[in-house]
Amino acid sequence: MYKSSKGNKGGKLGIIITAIILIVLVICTNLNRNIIDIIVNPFTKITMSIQGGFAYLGNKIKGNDEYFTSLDSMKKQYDDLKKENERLVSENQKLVALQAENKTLKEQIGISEKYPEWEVVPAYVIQKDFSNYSKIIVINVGKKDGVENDMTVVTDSGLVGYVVSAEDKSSKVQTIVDTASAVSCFISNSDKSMVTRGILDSNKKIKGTYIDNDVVINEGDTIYTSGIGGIYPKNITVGKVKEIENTQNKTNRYVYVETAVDFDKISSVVVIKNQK
Amino acid sequence: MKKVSSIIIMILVYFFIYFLQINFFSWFNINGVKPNLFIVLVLLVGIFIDGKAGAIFGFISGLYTDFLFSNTIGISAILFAVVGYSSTILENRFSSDSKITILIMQSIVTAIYEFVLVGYRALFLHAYTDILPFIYILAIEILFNALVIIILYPLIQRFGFYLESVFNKKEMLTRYF
Repeated sequence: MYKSSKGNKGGKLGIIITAIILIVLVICTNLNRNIIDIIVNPFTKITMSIQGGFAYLGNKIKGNDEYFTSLDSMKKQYDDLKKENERLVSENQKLVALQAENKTLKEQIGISEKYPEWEVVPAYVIQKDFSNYSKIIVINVGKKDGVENDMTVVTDSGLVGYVVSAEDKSSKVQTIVDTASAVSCFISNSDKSMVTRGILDSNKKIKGTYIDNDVVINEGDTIYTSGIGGIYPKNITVGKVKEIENTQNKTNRYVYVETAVDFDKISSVVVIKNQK
Repeated sequence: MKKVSSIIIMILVYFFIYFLQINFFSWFNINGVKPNLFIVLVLLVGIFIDGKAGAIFGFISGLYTDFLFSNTIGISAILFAVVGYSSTILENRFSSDSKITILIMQSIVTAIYEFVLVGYRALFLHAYTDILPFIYILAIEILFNALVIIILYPLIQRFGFYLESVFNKKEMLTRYF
């Protein structure tokens, strides 16, 4: 296919088209903005430019051209502001780096303050799972830092998961959004427990099942760890009830819980070693 | 000497894919779904050298992947070894004269690999698995792998020729090109 010059051209064209398709797919499925906006914007710009021209003419005819006569002074102002803006952008870049560092340190201090009864080890997330079906993260602390298997990992927002395998200088953490993860929880307004499990197609939601029949659940209710099961300590925030799915049989009803931790952006965590 | 250097190249390609999977595809993904280029690499080694080499390479690279991520050491090793070896079986069944062959083989092994892996997780790790999301993710993963293969095909072709010449494969697989 790639040997003849004609075939070669066809092959290259095929590759380019495939690459474009791939990039478009990635962009379309990841953009937060509405795709329609992207399509509509150029048309709006063209229409608004023409409309601007008409407005200018209209103002001239009416003698209402005060705005336009002051255009020169505005242009000068614009140039000054542009220079000022460039200076601020450069300063901002330096601040962003410092801010990121500061945020991480604050988070770690915040966790220590939030849970003063625990002895904690701060850590950074150094790797996220490459697989689409498991959601294990790797952190940069291990046995040499006192981390052991089954220790709980949290951020200042809430529960992350637990250590499934501690090596010398790193540890694997099974997150609560992993499908193999099960966390015993209770709802803020009730003392009855339920079990949350990770689901395949989301990094932000987990499914809450085994909900007691007489428990009243409302959207926005906070979910905490119950302490049952022996791995997770009690009262760590897991997330908030996002959707309630009522089934015909009440025992089968389930909820979707939005996790307190943003697993797409998670960068620093702490490992709970033990109670002080 | 050439064999040693080609093994080193394979290892380097593995690490290149590893960093690509961890860093690049963590944001360059289709609706959150990443490709699995390890499967593609192991399959290609099996096709261009032979099933045994594919199985050995698959086992070692799978074991290494398990050390890094899995909570069950050995599962990826066994599955990658099967992927590497399966190339021999699939090679005998498919002989169409185009890259479609590689794409079909990739689709089959990716589906089998992920199906077994998810099945294992459901049975032994009690992972909660919904069928529809699984099929959806698998379909995108296969599509993503296929698109990457199409884009990198000239490179794969050269790499394959090189491996074939180094390991003196008796039958030159010109039919793939």
